[in-house]
Amino acid sequence: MADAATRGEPLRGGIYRDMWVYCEQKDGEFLPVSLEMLGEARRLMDKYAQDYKERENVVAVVLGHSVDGLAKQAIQRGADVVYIGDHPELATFRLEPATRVVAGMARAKDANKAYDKPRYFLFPATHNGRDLSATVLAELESGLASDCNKLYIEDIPIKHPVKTPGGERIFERTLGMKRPDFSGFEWSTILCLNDPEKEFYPQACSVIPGSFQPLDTSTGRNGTVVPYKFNLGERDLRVKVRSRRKLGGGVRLDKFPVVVAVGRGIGANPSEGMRLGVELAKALGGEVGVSRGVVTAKYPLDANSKKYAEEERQIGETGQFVKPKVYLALGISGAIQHKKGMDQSEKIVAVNTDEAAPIREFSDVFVKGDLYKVVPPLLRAIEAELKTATAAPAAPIAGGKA
Amino acid sequence: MVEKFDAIVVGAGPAGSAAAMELARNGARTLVLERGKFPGHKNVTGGILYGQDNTPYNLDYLVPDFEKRAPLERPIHRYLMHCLYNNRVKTLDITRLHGHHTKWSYAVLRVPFDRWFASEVHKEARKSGGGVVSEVRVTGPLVEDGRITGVVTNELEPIRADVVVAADGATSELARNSGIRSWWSEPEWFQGVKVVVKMPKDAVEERFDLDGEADGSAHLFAGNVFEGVRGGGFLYTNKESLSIGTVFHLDSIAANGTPPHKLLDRLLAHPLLRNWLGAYYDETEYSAKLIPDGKKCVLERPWKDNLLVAGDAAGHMKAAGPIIKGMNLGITAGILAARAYLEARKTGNLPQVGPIYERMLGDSIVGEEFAPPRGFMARMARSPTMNARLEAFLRSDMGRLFLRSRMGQKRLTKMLSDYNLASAAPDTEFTYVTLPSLVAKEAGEPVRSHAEIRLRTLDERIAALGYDTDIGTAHIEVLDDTPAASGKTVFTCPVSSPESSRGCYRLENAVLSDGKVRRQVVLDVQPCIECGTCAVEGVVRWEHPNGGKGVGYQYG
Amino acid sequence: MEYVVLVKGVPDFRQGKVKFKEDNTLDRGNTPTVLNPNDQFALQAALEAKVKHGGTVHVLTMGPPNYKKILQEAMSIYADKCYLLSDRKMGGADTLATAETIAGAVRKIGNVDMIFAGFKSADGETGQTGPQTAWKLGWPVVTHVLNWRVEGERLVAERTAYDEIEEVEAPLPAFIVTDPGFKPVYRQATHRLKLQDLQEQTQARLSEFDRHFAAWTAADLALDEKKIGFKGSPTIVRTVEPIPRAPQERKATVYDGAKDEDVKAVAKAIVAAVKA
Repeated sequence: MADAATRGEPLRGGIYRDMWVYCEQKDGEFLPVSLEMLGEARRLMDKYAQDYKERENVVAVVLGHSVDGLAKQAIQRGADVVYIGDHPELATFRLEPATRVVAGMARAKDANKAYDKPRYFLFPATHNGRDLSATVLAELESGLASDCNKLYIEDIPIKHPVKTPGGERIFERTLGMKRPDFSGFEWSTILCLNDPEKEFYPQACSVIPGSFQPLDTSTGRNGTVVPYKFNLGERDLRVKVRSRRKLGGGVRLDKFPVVVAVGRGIGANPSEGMRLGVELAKALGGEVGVSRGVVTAKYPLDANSKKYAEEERQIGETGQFVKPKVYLALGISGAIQHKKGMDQSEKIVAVNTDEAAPIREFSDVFVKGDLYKVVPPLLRAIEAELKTATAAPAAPIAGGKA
Repeated sequence: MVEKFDAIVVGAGPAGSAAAMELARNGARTLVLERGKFPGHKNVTGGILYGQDNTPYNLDYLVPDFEKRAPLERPIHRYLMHCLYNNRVKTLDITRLHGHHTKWSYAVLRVPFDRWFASEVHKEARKSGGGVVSEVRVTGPLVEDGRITGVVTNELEPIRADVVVAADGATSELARNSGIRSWWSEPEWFQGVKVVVKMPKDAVEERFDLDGEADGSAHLFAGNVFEGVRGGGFLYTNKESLSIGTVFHLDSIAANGTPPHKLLDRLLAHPLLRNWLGAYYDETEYSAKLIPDGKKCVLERPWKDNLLVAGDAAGHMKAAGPIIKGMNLGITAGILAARAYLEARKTGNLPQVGPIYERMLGDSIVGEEFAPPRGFMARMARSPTMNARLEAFLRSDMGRLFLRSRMGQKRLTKMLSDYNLASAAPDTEFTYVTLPSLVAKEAGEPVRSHAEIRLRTLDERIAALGYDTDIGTAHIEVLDDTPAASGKTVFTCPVSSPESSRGCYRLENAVLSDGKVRRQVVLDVQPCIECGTCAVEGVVRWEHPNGGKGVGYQYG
Repeated sequence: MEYVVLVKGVPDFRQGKVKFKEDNTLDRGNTPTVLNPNDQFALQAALEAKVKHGGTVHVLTMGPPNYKKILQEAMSIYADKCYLLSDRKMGGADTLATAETIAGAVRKIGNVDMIFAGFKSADGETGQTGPQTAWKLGWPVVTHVLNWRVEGERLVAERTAYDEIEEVEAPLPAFIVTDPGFKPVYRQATHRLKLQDLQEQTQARLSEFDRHFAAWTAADLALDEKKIGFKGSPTIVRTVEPIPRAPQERKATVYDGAKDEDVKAVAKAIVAAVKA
């Protein structure tokens, strides 16, 4: 029983419970994606309780050093149980010790956990989260779907030569994991299923940041905190992090669902024009980019606006390439060099005084007008529209940016 | 461990490759560092490659069978001077000038030529552990204990060598940052712009009356076509294209105010050229470069410690009238730099490599080309009084008769074909503009053309160039953006023009926070062709882009 | 020194190469298979290893027989030896089963000092195979590597995580997964000359490719058949739904910025698109 679990041999008739969520934290704060996953886990397990008339828990896993304070937040945001792996050597994430600890937690049997392994396990699809999901699942010898953005739990009928040699059968309580595939051309649903000889648990996936919504903080929930005891040996710590430094490279505009691009149309009053762009971007949860013309114009900008007219924010052939959900072009004529940097955007909205500007040819929405006159009322209308919509604006695609 | 080679050559153009070839084949472990993506990628010529009969140190000294192996365009067997006065043209055959001490001559395109030459060098240099490494920008000398001991680059750790040859061109960062020379002043430079026009082989031979593939001609254009700017146009016949361009004194361009590409367009639009260019005008590559006027700025002392300077970097460019000797002087100087090192090494006298090089240069055709003109006729040619008299004569009734007569034209042609006279001729409006204009006005025939050619705009020419932009790093920065300090860049820069929206320099109105308007010079460095004009004409911080970055040519 | 590079064949997603069916969905059958674009960085990293430390670069891929051409593409960047792991029994493998197969091949090559792989193949982008293979071999793995070097007996590498660059060190042998931002570092002229020599030899080596090529089956690798292919794969792909590509041409709806109702309509459209 316990031996098989720790030796990693396939269990038969094992007991699998709960949805575990690896809640990545950095420097004492959860990454936004951790709270998003907890929110989704809560929703999935609440529905699970409804559908199967059995309550199973959402278990948050938190690794780090001096991270007890995070347990309360994890519970608030959806966890029933929080496993804490606290150790000085875990202050900075390292793959090997983290794998050992998480796999150990998953297999452990103790007063808090009477089952063999988790039923489901969610990881964040961040650089470290993805790596961890891979090694933990290799250690637990089960299946993993990466970069998922939609999950559901259902009884699923399957007919498969290896999984169901005798013909179709129903796989109960199976986690359906959907992910965009083939460079965004297809959407695959991945399932982790037992075969006649082996049980594959947990059914695991890594989750794309921004896919789900966290719970409201005012839920007033209760839960249990379990400090997990473990030792780390020299071999676990053989990879060392010598140093960390912030990437100087500036803002990555392709991580935002909305990009507001500002062009030479702001020439009449550059600081004001830039300010309007920044406000618009903030309201929509996006970021500000500029055309090359703004970079080379060297407008005299005030202190707040200056940093936006830098080459690092330039969009175009010799700048960044973006394809956000919404691209808002303010005062941009649409030269070919600029077009090449953004014409794959899902929806392109242009504001320009010139109806014959080239950008009209590749926009979905063209607003004829002076941006100084159009953007303030547009901003107000957007804010009003957002309030009436049911959820908050989408968070940035990659977590971690302030 | 600091790397060390026997010799480091900076720049894989003709001078650099020549130096490296001579070094390598004499067993010196030679490293050539080239800034472009490959040798030739950033090079352009408006010239002809010569081999001279008064020196052994030509290309054939290094590669005896180069005529079979090198990618050469046509040999130049005829040199014609077209005097222009509006649409009147008088053509004088000045082949004799071109033939002075000329053993052989070829039109070349630098991208394929330099690439071939450097690949020969690389093969040879690999044998002794050296070779040609591209995409490396040498930023200056390695100085240890107050002496130059090697080079410092942007892409590699510093490297030591017993001798360093700076052959990194007219804009040489190495020679300037070693303190051997400065930027040179506005009157000490020529600026050349050029286009390569594709033309089928048969058309070239038919229109220029050539005798098959092994025949070619060079053409010079001077007169009143260029708004009085001092200089002239050129056309060389390549195998399947034409190199057409203009070369002007930089100070004359600056004083006149017309962008150089527009002056080139005047030439291209002239009926004489339109008849040649004909129905389908297939212009490909636009290019430009600064050319040092060696007569004024050649380095007397092209060395410091163990650093020797050769080619354009040292001002080894001699214009004798329309005859431009640049590439071959660079080759000769490069070979001599190598030989100076080999001699110094043989005699255990490495610290003397500089003086040995200087001596060898002085004794060679390089020294001869830059020696002050000798002789009575030469002194006459330079005398302002004599020039004024000549002009007065030519304008007089007698003078005009003289110009219209066959005898007069023969005498004139003889005078114009004299190498010493051409070398000594002053850089005045008389020489470049007035004299040819008078000849054409009096003795020329009107030329008409029905051919319509659509010239490319500057924006189109820039759009056709290839760049690998070093995003986030601007290699040129305007330090004083007032029109007074840097305003001339807006039209002297070969890729700038008041009407161009894609170019480098612009004059713009900036709206200040108090509502006032300020005229300022604005730079977009991305279309830069790295000629160096703005370093001379404006107040800027000027550097080369890093290794492998910036503009690259296809023809050169 | 022995180095292994893992490469993969993927549909060619480049503009103009990728083929679509009439309903604008991906036509996998007619889209050619090419070397995964991110694998070039792994190959460059292995070449860097050879230039600086000498040794042999072994490139391997798992796939059907026609993946031999993927190895040829890899060799055009660099390879000393190429191996195709091909067997019906390996088919249908998810990443865990693939990792098992590759680990077997690495053991067969023997005495390997470093393994290089590219981040996330373009198709089935999982990013798992590298770390899982390393885990099965018991090797440390460093992912998202931007550059690396050897100091003494240890690997030192810079990697990206969050918005930071970490410098990590690990004992050898080690597994490196290159980031698409990977750049080999050549700051010695002699290294650049050696790199050129090796690159020049590539053409000659490609012309006698079969001399440097071997195909291995599951039996050659002494693999546990229960852990590879379909049988060894916990996960299956249940369904695939196509996502049509974005429309090539757009027709703009024109609004008047001075009209209140137009501005409101635009705001509605923007918010709807953000929520989609």
